Amino acid sequence: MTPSKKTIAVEKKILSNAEYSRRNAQRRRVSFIFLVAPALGWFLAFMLWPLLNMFYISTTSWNALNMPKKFIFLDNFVRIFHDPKMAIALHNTGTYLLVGILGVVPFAFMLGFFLSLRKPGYRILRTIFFSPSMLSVAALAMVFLGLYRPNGMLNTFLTSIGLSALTRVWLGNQATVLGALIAIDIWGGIGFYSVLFFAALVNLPDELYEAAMLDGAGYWTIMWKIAFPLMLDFIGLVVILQFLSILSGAAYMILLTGGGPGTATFTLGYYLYDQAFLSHRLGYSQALGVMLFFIGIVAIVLIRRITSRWSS
Amino acid sequence: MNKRKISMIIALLVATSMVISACGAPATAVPATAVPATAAPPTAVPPTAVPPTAEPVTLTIWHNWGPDDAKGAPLKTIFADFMAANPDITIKDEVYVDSDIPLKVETASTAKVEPDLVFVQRVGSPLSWTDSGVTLPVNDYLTEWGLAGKFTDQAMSDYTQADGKVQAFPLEGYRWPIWYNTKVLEAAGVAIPTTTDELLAAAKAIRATGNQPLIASNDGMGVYLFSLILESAMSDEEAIQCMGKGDWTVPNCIKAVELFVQLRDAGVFVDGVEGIDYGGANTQYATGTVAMSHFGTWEDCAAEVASVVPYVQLGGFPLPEGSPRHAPVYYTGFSAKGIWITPNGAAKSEAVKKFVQYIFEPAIYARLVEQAAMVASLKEVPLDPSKMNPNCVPPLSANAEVAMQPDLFLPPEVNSDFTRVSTEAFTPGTTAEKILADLTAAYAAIK
Repeated sequence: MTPSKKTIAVEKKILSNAEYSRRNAQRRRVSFIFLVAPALGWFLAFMLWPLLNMFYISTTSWNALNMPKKFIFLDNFVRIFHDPKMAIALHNTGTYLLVGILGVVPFAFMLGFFLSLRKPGYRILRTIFFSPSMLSVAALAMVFLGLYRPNGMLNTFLTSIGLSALTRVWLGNQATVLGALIAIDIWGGIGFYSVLFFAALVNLPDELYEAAMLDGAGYWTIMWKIAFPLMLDFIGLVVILQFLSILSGAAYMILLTGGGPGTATFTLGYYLYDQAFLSHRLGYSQALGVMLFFIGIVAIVLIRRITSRWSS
Repeated sequence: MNKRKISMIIALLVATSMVISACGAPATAVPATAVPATAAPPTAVPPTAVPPTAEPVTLTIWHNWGPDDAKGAPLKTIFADFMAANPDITIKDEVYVDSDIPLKVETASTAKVEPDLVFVQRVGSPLSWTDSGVTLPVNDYLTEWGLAGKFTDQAMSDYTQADGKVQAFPLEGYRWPIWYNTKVLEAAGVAIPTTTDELLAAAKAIRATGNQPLIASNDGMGVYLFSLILESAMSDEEAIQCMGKGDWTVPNCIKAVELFVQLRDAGVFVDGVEGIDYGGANTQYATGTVAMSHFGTWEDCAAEVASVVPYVQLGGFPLPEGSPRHAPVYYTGFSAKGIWITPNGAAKSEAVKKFVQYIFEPAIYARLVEQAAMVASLKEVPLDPSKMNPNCVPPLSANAEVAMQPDLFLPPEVNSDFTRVSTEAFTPGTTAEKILADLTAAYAAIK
């Protein structure tokens, strides 16, 4: 039996529809590749490649930019585990992280909450709180250098109010220098993160606060019983940001203390800088960088898990 | 292949070629005749690299003698006069902070866009430049350009590697003694101390007048004072043994650290010395209330301390009893500044030759010595007393002995640890045992 003319026409139409769909899908794939290619190229060239390069350099002995690299596989990582300075750097970094996070996040949250209430003048306060973040690190370091000098503003102030017994050589004393640097971070960090918290808190529905107030709750209760639980995910994000900033940061050590006196401000971030730029051990410095990278990843996972568990 | 596909492929090719060309170095970045940045033997003067002298040539020079440096003004006149005498050569000089120059040169060198000449100290990473090809050895240039035998032996020695390669032309020497403010000392009724006992007595007397004894800072200035004080109690050989090789069990090395602690605890240093930076030390010394400081030649004509210059007398650091030294110690050397020739500079060797010969002409070079009290690396410099800068400190005239500068033997890997331990040493309460233990640990870490 031969197919009728009508059947042939229907089959042709079905075929042309299938062809059309096939061609359309192909066109979409090509368009997708064409659109994604720049972003993918950017990611590969400027993010993945440097990261892979860091891993590669960490397996070499390389003493200057213009010197040849020697492949030593995992020797740098083995050395990290036998390096007596690592214990010092870990201890200082741990102290810095603990005080730097606990000293910033709760207060930044409280300030952010206060701003989110949009009391008169909150716009000016928001600008004031954020202003330290607009200053360059070098400018801030100079400000605090003047503040912490033996005859600087802090000691002059303490003396003027009769507390001369509390005056110290803040950056030269091993007992005070790490605290002095953490104080700079806390001072700048509280303002910066409070503005971030403000931006997140204003998105909470006003009805929640109003209902709580009708039930007789004060601001303190609203802040901790309502806003805080709702913001746990965001708090986790802020903790991660502060953690990573402290973990790899070394600006104030470089500008103010050189990791000293002694090893009082010798942190992991500073150790990496020291090995790369002062001791010219580029391979070892990148091994430290890889270690910091993994510490960062583990910390992110842990912090996310903790905040998710609390949220639920 | 339909038209859409063809146009898509063309678009991709165009985009790819644009990205590739954007990532490439600019066409003008590398001179066609540039020598590759690889180690070159002393004889490597590229014969094809010499451009015709009639063609305009621009020499790029990186240095740190800016307007704030006493050598900045005479250097400007040298550049200007050189360009007037050689209209086909333009000098483009760029001023940077001295400590920033090495890394800038190294990164520029990797892209083959380094300057032609670099004026920089022979300390830290420049020590490896000749071997890594960042700069070229100047052995052949010395003889071919008629400069062999013109420099002092110590200057040549300071720039000569163990394998005989001369790394740069020695441009500037330095002297790093103790500055004694005689006005403050006279007010306390004491003379310039030459022994530890005299120093301790002087510190006490100076404090009694309300002034302060010896200033230092918690950065580079402090670390060299720390090492100078240690070296006042030991010989050069012992200094190499402990500071160079990390053997801090040498008896005189232990005594030296104990001496430092003794001086610190006796109040020889200014109050709060552990918290003072270099700028603060300068400012405080300039007030005229501090008797002593450890300043190098670079401060000799500095405006910041000009107010005390009329009262300054240079000398060495006092010696403890039983010291193997014969006279108070100070540092001197020629590593302060050399003229380093890069592969890009070698490609313009005719112009570089003219400039180097010009700046080392004794009458031209004398300007830097006369106007900036620069320690000369040339054997013979005809100085005109009427042109000497009256705002500079007078030369060291006291009986003093040169101690070997730690840069010559301190392992680069231990440098930052040594600095940190020295800042710790200035902190009251740090015992000699702690300092020795930390120094030992710092050296052990690099073995």
